[in-house]
Amino acid sequence: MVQIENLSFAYNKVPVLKDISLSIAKGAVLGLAGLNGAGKTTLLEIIAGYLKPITGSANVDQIKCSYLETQPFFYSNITGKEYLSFITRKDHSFSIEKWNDVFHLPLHELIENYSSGMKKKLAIMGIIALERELILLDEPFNALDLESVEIVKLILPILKKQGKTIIITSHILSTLTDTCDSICYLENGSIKGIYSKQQFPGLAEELLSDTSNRFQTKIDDAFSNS
Amino acid sequence: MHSLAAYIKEIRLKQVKRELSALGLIYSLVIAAVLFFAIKATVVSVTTFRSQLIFSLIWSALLPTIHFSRKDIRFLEITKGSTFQFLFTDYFLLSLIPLCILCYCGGFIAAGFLLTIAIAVCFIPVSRKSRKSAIGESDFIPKYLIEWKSGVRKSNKIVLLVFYILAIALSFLPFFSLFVCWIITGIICGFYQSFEPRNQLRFHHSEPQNYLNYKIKIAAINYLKIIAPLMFIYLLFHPDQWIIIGTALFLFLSILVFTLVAKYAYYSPGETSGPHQIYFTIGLLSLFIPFMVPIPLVLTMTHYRKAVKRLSPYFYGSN
Repeated sequence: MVQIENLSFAYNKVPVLKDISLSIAKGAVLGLAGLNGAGKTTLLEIIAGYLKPITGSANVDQIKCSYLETQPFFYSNITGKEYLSFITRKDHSFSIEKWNDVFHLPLHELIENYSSGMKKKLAIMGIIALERELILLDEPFNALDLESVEIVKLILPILKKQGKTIIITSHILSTLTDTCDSICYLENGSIKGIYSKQQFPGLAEELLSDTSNRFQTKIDDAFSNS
Repeated sequence: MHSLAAYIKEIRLKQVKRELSALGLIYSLVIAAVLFFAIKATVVSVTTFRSQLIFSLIWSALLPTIHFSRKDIRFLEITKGSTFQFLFTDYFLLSLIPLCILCYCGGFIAAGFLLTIAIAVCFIPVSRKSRKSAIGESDFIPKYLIEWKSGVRKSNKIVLLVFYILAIALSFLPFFSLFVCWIITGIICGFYQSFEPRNQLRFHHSEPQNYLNYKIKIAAINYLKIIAPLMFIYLLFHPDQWIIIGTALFLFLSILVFTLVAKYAYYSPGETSGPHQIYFTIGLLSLFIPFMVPIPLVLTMTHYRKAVKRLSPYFYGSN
């Protein structure tokens, strides 16, 4: 479904992704983890076809792909219902009313009155309505309340069962281990490793303790000067 | 250390530079030429006290409009102590060219009036937007015209209705209805100023060209549904002006198409502004400067390919 080979990318000559090779089978759920600026969103944007790699290739059928942005944006003066009605095709099975029983959004209100969490939920409903084969979710759990996080966690395996391929980025490591078949860890634009969900908690623990050790002294220093 | 006024000037200059660099050298030169001729035409026109006052009034009306649509209220609240300085620098910079023109033409009273308005506007409190309601509004617009739904709410449908009724009621006056049609065209073109989400592009179409053609088609058809009756009623009162009416309709339509094409030529999801807004202004003003009349048509042709190219990655990918 997704075949990435020796892919590199740079913004204004600053390398962001270096020699990435990755293969994602149809129906798989892959998590992308890494620190801020590791290149997760850039990789998703290349897979979606919005950015062109400098070298290498990403073999993806972009027309079959939908993309959830970290901060979804909409036309400001339309209601949630108008947005969903616009994107729902007649030949698709998506029911706005049934899905709103799940997400409980005030669909008759203007989107600009929505909180960031509500906008995220609306965007997720939009992604479901699109019914695409490849789903790219950039930080889908950001801004969501506990209940909605659980709802999304319940939805993802069903999409997987339907044969959809899903790529998720998240900073909340537990959400990745709960939802993904495997997790790719990016570090400074390169793949540090691809881990199974059993291996990943160990790596996460290692990373966290490493961070604590490296930054404790720096934080103490900064506080002592302020 | 910079003063606040110098700091704002610097920010605004950087913004202009950024917009111009996004446009490219050739189009920046076109804009510079347009600006030059517009200033020259204005200098020639504002020679009497009456024309100076009208010119000053038009600019004065612009300032409160900008004041009430400011999006930096939060920032102003933080810099509360210097709100006046901040606002005045902004409005003074905006009025600088007309002020220079008025002073050059000896219209010191009109210039003083404009300056007074610029100062007065700064004292009008800007409140944060209250929660808007969507109930009942724009339900009459079909769901595929999502920009119109959004735009009608933004522009206030009552104002649109008043313009429309005025255009019909005063059809017997020469050129009045045409002028109102021009205003309505401007409002409708304004609906296409914000970019749709990326996912939205691929909902119903698989090719950028099809998408663009579809957008032009539905915009043109619905625009004609609104404007054609006005033009027809005007034609009944002024049958001798049929050539002018036909030409105006064609030019209005070309401005709409041009606005749409320019929007997608600079499509940048998530952004609120872009070079297409400059084109929108040029398109709208082109009718009043004789040599600029064909500009929307010419730019539509040059920008159509650019728009298709710009949209391509969102349909096929760039890989």
